[in-house]
Amino acid sequence: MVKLSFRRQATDIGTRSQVALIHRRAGFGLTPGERADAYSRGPAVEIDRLVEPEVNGVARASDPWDDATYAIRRPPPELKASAVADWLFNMIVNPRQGEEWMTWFWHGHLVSSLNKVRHPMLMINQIRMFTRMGLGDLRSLLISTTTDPAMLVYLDGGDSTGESPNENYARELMELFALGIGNYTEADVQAGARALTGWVSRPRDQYEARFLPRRHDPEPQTYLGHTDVNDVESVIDAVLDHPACGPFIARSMAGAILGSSVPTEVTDQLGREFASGGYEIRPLFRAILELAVERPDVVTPVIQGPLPWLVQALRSTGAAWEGEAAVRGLHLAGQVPLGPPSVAGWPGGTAWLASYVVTARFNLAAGVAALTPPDSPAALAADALELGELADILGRPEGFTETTSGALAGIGAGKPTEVLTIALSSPDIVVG
Amino acid sequence: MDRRRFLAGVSVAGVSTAIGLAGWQQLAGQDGSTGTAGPGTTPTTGAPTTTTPALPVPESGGSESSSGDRILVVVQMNGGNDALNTLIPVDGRYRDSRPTIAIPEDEQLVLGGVPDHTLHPALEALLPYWDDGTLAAVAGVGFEGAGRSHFEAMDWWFRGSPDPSVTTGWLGRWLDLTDEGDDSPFRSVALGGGAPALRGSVSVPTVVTSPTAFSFRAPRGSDRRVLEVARAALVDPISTDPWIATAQLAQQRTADAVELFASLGSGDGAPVTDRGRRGSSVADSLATAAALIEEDLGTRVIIVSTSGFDTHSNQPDTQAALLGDVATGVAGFLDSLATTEWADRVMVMTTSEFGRRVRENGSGGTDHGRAGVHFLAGAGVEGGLVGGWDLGSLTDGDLTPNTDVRAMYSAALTWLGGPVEEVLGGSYEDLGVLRRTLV
Repeated sequence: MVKLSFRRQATDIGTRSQVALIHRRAGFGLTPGERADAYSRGPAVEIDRLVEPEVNGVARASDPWDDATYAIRRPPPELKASAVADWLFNMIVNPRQGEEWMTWFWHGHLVSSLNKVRHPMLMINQIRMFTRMGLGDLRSLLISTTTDPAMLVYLDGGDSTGESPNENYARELMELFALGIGNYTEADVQAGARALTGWVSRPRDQYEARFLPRRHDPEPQTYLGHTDVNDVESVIDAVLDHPACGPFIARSMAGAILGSSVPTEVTDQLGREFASGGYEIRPLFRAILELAVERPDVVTPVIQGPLPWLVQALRSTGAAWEGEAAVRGLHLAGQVPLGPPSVAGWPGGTAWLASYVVTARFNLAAGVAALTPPDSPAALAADALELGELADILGRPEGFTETTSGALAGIGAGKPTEVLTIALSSPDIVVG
Repeated sequence: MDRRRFLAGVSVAGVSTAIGLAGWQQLAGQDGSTGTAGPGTTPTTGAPTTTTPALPVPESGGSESSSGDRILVVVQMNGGNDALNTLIPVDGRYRDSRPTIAIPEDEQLVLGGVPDHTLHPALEALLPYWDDGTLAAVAGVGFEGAGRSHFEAMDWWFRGSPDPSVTTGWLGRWLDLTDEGDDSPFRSVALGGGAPALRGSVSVPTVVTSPTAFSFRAPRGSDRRVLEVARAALVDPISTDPWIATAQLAQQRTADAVELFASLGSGDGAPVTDRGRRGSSVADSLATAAALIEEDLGTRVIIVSTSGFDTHSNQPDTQAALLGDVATGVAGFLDSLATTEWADRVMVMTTSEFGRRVRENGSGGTDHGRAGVHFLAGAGVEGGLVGGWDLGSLTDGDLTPNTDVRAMYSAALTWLGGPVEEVLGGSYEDLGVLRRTLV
């Protein structure tokens, strides 16, 4: 009796919608194999599994990058696409989807790019660091980011000396990474740059950062109202002590999960709790996911970027795509992991509806559809025009809109590739 | 392709605009501030500001175009073009600084009327315009106080401001301010790459990063016709849900653009070839641009991007190929429109985020520097050289930026009919590169 009622409750449409939503926004969707179990566990348990995979016994995928391949002196250009493809593969197969998503989130927030960093090993190590520390505490994460070898290249920290400080990292740390514009002065930028000098990232150091005292300015600086700031730890502590820090990070994470229109009061509250709780990221992540379930009024649609959209498509269809080909498609769509266009990350929002993105996304959808195994649940549902089931497999238990249903029905049964192409490129799936 | 079809879409455009603004608010930063429509600050850098405000553009008589019809084409040379091998000073120190990469004297192109500077030989296709008096070169363009980072420099050029709180591009602001709400999706177009300079709060450019990839491809073995019918059915009717509607309108607009570009390619032989990751050649993109202009779809601004100018090593061959592409592209573009009604209505301007060091490095190349040289071409241009290199007065080993980027932008915005000050947040030197009847 109990079991029956539990089952009925677990599979009602509201529950399925909530489970699908949190997996779309804080993971890369559900595979058909994961779907039934996730629905029957319900949103509360799924939040636990996304946020705390270790204690909930969710297995970890093995590290996707083989150091022997990447840790070489003069990496040929094709290794860049290969490094991206390896990560893409991990996003698809990693059972720890919350951890994987959080790694992707930090990559878009604490930005570095292979286009400037050049050596894939440095970027790979940075991504590994985000996976290792991305759900830990913000202090450790920011300290590691500040002295991360790829970051030292990307924002010129490695060129910054006491004699000639480079302000690039010091500025972006406050402007884009932790506080937001208007919460610091130019004097803070200059003082921060001086305090952070001394760290280098050199080819001869085997992808490790080094601290060279002769390049460091040990003079105590006044920074964000703190005196005696003269090293990485004291800079980060001053940043964390700033009242804007918690709300700024909370806004960024909540915006990504709940949508950009989430009210400021909500994110400010999250941010204050984040700061007063010692900047532990895991409880912040949990609080945002609980809002996604409990406060539908603060959740707004998100125009999916090509990367999360593609990974969801690959996971839900089981299409086996040769990684480098997928990376070429993502390049045309404007969102290649490891290659954000600027220190501000990917633009997002309606930028993902630009003409070239629309064609590239359609062509990616066509590629996924063509490679979907004919006996996969997605292909079978598409073949039989079981549109409710197809929408559910693609992460929309609510079903397709009437217009999209009409377009798919017009294709007719027995044309699974055409149905999947149109379904994946429809506004229903692009806006998620 | 039917222009009225764009106009028919206007009744629902308000929906799109509302969402567009929300999107840009998100872009403006996690602090929740809204996108700034303009720099809003008085310029603090840039030496040569004048007290004379930019003059309004009168509707001049004769055969001159009126400002509302004019088109600006920006050729964006990403990577930082080496200015000193582009416009070469007649100065012994030039060779001394560049023992292996200096352009040999017998290959340099003589610029009529200019005794102290010559041109890179790859720019030969531009000489007829110089002789016509419709090509201007401006030496020393840059931002005072700029660093040598590509990223920062590109941001400054795109925004038309060193102020990082400005979230819109300089042309995006102009497009926003002059948007009358009834324009075609081809009002601003980017070819060969993205174009942050076109980023506005409201205006949405049509961006085609790779013309050969700009099509809807059917999966192998699938029914193309069935897919086309279904794709059209996805956007009909437009939803009352504003988010779905925005995605639908984007798909519809893209389908229109794909159809248009396909017709441009198959028309009078403007084959669009792809150079892989670099995008199209400038010549190809400009041929597409000329064909697009002749379609008369209300286009006002086109940005053509090309990359590869970051010549840290083996500069001579690389730069010669790139400059040759730009020169033949610009000449081909102007020539193809010369006998049309558009001849008096187009102006081409080059940009690049910085120039390079005066001294060559140890790899047969040059590292990041400061000032650049830029060209303006077209019937509305007052030809000639503005400024010139002084190798005796360098800034930290770089050519000194003594003409603010925004002075060049002022000329371009004046050509477009303004407003100038509202877009640039101040007024800048009149470089005298526009024909007097225009200013």
